[in-house]
Amino acid sequence: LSTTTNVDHFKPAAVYTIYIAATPEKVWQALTIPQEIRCIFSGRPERLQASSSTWLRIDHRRVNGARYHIAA
Amino acid sequence: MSKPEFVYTTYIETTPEKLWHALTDGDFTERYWFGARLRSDWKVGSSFEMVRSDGTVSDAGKIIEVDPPRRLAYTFVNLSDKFKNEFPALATFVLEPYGKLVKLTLTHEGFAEGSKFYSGISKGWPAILSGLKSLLETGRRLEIPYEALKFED
Repeated sequence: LSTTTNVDHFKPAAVYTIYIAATPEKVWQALTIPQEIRCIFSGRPERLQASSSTWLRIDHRRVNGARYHIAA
Repeated sequence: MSKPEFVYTTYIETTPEKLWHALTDGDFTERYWFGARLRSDWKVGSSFEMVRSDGTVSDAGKIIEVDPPRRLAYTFVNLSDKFKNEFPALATFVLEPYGKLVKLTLTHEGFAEGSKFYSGISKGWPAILSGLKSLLETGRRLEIPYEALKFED
């Protein structure tokens, strides 16, 4: 595999799209503010940081029986 | 090269019975399916049609599986000339309750390689199912501009 990828020719195995009744600013905040990530994934009083080890840990969390997959 | 298959999963705060109704009641689908009413008696082997607001049929197929409120499957293909050589691919809905929510998984398979219809449904389903989720959870329509889907023509 080449270390450089031309995104125009990238054929992903899976793509997920969702339409949300919100503003771009609100969605951006929900994706980037650690406190809100905490609420979405666990609700536990810990401050998550977007390090690769944190993402891997989140990857194995289950919420209401549903497994969340995060591609870092 | 593997044949194209579309898979979409969404978690909706509702009951399996309400979700089943939302997927099979024409008056309800009209509110989130870009104005289309689904028309069928929902019996295995019966016809399945998507009816536009002007009464014309846009897509047609056949009911394959009905197991309320757990599994629903039907084939359909768009009737416009653009897709006249396409196979009627199989759409399967699986509803799984988890407490206060339902996990809805849609698979759509049976397309030929390079299918234009596959390209179309890959853009259509996320909008339809987002609208379904919003409507069931909030009671409000999600007005998705048609151009947001970015169909090629």
